[in-house]
Amino acid sequence: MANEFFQKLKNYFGNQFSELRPHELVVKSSLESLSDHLKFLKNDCQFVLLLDICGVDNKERDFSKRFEVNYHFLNLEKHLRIRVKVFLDETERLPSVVSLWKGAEWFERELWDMFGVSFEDGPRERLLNHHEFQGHPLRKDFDIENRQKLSTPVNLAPESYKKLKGPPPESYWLNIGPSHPITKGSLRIMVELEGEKIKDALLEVGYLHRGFEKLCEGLKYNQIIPHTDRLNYCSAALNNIGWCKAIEDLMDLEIPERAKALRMVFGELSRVVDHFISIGSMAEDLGAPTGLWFFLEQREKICRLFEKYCGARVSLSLTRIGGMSQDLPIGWANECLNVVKSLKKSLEDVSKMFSQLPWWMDKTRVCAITAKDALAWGFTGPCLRACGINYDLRKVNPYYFYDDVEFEIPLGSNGDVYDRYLVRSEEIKQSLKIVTQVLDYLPPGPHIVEDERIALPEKSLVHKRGEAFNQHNDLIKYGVRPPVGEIYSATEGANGELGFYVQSIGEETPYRVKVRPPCFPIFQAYPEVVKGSSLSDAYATLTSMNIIPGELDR
Amino acid sequence: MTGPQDFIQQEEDFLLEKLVMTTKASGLIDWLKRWGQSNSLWTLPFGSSCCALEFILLGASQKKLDDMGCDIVRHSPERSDLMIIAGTITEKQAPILKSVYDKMLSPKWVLAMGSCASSGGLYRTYSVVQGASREVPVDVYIPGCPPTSDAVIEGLKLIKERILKGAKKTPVIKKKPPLNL
Repeated sequence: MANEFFQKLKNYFGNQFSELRPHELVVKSSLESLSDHLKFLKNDCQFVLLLDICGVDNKERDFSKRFEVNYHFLNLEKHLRIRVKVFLDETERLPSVVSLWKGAEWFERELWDMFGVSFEDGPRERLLNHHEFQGHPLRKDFDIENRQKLSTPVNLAPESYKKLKGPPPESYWLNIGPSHPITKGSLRIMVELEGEKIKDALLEVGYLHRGFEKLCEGLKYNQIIPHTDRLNYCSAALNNIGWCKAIEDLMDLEIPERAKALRMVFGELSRVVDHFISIGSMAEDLGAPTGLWFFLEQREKICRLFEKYCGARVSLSLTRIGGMSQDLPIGWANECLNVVKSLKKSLEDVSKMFSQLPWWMDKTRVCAITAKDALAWGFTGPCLRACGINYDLRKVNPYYFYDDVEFEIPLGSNGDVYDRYLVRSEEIKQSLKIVTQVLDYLPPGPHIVEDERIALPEKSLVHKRGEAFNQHNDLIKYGVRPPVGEIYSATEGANGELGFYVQSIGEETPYRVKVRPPCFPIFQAYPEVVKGSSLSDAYATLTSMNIIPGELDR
Repeated sequence: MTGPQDFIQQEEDFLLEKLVMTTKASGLIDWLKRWGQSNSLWTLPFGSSCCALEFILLGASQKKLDDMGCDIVRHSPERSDLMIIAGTITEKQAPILKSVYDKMLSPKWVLAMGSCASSGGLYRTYSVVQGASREVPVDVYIPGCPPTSDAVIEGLKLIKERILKGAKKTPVIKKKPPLNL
């Protein structure tokens, strides 16, 4: 089957098609034939999900054209990812793909904002930077410290509404955010209300745009790990793992078994924490603040485990390229098992209470999205699974030991707030199950790969042996150097597929880093999902989607 | 219930000292006013990122903010005395921070929680304001990324001390024009 599929792609694209890695295909396209190629990929090859659109500025490399745009698509059935590459100059215009994939809109706006790539069907608005910003930050000739003040914040309401005089009209605009208790960070939503009912909604993002991608271009590979913590600050370990896995895959590096097992343990614990916060804040926003306090108390137990392992509670930075930062402290595994046991017990009570509560069901059986729409927007993770699509990277492409442990993928059927809640609360139980299984069979051995080019030598040796001293110095000075190449590596984050696209030119710093944040396409669909519902439903939807601004704006 | 009688009994030595130190009755009244302000701080969390989450956790599961007299968290600027800036302030967010600060009624105090709000932290980039003090006057800075709960409590104690002593506000740092070399 796979061969037939590959033959079909080869016949169509000829020698422009290549298989870079298993599950990662590359096609080089040209500006004229791009639209046809993308149509072929969507309609004939079922690449239905747009993962990412990523620009690269080639000014520091001798390429004939300045910009490079990479489209990433996913075929859910065959689990294949394809990257379509296009090169273009500053004067050339890119065809829009919004008609094929609805979710492409924000990606294209970001492309204009960051690189100044213009489109055939007219200009785009800025997305992450403010409207008075001059220049395009991710171009190589843009100074990273070029800060520009914003004099007046943008008023999102339509022009006709602002000039209104006389008695108020039937519908009115209500601004929520960017600093609002509901947003759990800085998001801005503007809703048009008619009585209680939402007629329309507008979004503005970028209030937490911290320039992660530009910053990465000046940092060494290991130095980027602390920055990935602050992408999705609810589940920092999953980001660490995603980043390190991308670089290890780029280097074809096999990490020790113990490191794999530890990454699974911390990853799953982080996923639990993330879901706790999501469900807890959902309960709070629906008028049950005790739910939030309960979940935060449970979260505290896991945070203490993290603190015992690496000293940090939230920003963990617990992985290194090639393994983990340290081995488990003595007695940690036992303590973790105890915590898991107590969590399981208390979770049973809460799920009994919430899942069958008529009041809870009434309030959460709202704001549904169909599977077809979810795919068109580019949903992944719990929000996609709540619509009934069985796609979890841990099952489809089991990395580490995910094929050796027993767990199930919970699925919803309606894609509404209640299903998203159910999927998350069931995933917590499955994650705890994974943690117990891995800790029961924790493999012995080193926690980091024993390679002097990647991992630091033991500290006790550094002061005794000259060889080890030199290794230590070299690694600190020059860092890890992956070979020339590019990779799109994806792991299952708490909100969906967390992808890292990295281009390396064989130097100590990456040439280009792009994060594929799972929240980004999900939040884009928000106005469509909340249309026709009431304001309190909109609050519940926002927290059930678990939009994390740090990840959304990067 | 504690009436004024009990209060005077409890703080007798301290009050006596104050009475001796001040020559006018207005001095004592002024001190009483500051003492009252320092013990009933209503907080306004201006949360934007990771620190906001930690601030919620602090109140919800770790420490008793009631002991500090600032357990009342108000999300409306008109009703609060102390703004806690928790998280990164970007250039896009800065005018909003300023307008929220302007809406607060004086006397008002500001606490910068975490390294991002104090100095820009990890993010020395084109979009991040290098410290909230470039936009609003900050009274106390709490280091950490994110700060531990003990550090936040320590910061709150410090701000109470400042209010009690009637410390003056630090002025807003004007941004220097970039050097053209």
